[in-house]
Amino acid sequence: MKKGYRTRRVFLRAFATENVVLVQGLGMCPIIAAGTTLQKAVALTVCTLAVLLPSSLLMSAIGKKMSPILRAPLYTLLAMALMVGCAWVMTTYISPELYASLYVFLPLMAVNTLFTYHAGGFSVGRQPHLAVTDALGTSCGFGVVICIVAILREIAVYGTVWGKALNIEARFPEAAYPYAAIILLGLMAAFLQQMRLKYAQILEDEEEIIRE
Amino acid sequence: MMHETRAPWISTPKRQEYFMLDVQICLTALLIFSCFSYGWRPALLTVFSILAAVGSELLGNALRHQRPTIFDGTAMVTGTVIALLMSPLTPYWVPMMASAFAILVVKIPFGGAGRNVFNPAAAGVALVTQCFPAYVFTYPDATANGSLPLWEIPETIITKASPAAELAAGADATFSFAQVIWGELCGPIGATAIFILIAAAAFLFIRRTASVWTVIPYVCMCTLIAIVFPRGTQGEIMHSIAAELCAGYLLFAGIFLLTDPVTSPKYPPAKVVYGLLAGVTVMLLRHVGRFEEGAAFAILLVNVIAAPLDRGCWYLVGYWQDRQSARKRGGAK
Repeated sequence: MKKGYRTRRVFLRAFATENVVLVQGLGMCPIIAAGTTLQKAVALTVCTLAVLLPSSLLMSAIGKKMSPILRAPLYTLLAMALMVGCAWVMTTYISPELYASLYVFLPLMAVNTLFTYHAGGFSVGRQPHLAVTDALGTSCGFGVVICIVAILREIAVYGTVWGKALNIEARFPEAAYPYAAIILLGLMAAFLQQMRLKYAQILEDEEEIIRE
Repeated sequence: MMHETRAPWISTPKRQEYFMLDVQICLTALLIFSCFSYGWRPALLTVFSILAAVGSELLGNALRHQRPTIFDGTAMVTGTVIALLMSPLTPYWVPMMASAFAILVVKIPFGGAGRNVFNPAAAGVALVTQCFPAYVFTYPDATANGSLPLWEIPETIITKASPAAELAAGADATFSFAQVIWGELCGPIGATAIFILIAAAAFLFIRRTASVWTVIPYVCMCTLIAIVFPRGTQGEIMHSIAAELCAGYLLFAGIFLLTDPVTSPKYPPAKVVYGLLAGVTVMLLRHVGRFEEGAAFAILLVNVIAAPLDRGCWYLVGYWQDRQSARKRGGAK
């Protein structure tokens, strides 16, 4: 089996077929609570990537050598330290208002189950390039979902995308409530499930490849 | 030969269309009564709501590549129930939006009639209650206005606080027994004619379309809470009971939404617990909720526990039967 093929499959698995939000149900809290504008969504996605990538690499390098009890505190502490860095970069160089509008949800990302599952689960003892691929796929999968939800909600609530006004008169302020995001996530999950059923045979082959 | 049956697969020999026909008859009676007070506007609201529901169902069928399922009557009943829970002054697009949401988001994605987890009508009403409380809870005076205009609502319409709103504001619900008899209470289109509601309940009980096991515990629990925690200033027990039961759409929800055979439990003990919990939730939402009437939200909340209740009941029956058979074997020794 070609090496590149397997890497691609690992990426696609984390990104689409076993999507971190829609199939595994991880990381839903920031989407529901903070995914109301595209800017917030992109900020959260970038922070996720910036934290998940180093933690996954670290776990793939030394995760197998340490006891499982020590792993969780280690990558949680690392994630928190990196998140402090992200927050500092965001407040100093990008936009303090954006950081303020993200409120508590950016710091909370550091203890998201997404990290537990991917940095502390998949990456442990895998080859570094697979860990990096998985981290990238997870972040992209999370990012795509939160961006779709955020774009739809931003259009519905403010009539803008990335702060730029569209010429839409109709407003639906209630879309900012959590239930709108939950309904959207449910519909997206159903759509993904339909796709999975459609390509079930390909998915089975893929499972075998990853298990090898 | 195999018989082809349609959803919902309910464990009674009656067919789906008869359930829906019974319910539709009762709803139509309520609608006709309402038309005497408000003119043709409630009927037109209902027609628009039904059209939206049936159209959404057709759209959903087309999306799922299946044959049209509009003739089982479920979409029509959903549309009618939603329209009857609106105020007569509600703009026509509000129940249409609720119906479309009920069918396209709550019913079709779960697999259509018979497989829905939540009651579609309750979900539609909950959505518009959450989004447009001003449209849903502004009621016209039932006697002062005569028949309402069909299209443009003038500013001169006399609106009145409904008994539910008066209770929620901490005041006394002021209405007399005669007002209850003649359906002159302020409230949703279909929920003020208390005597027709009681007659409809009796009809549905006799036809076995609605279950006594759900409705009676529900009403009893609401009554109990009205006795123990009365609202208002007078503090008379009978007045508190009558006010709580007749205000809002508590009875309507109990008779038409709670007894939906798809989303309610199937075993009688589970039905009793379900009704009791629904009563507690409805009254809790009235006491501490954001809106004057939260029965639609309460129905959605108890819909979630219908299946676990059924399963728990099933385990209980199995455990009891095991014990009985063990005792019999012990006796034979």
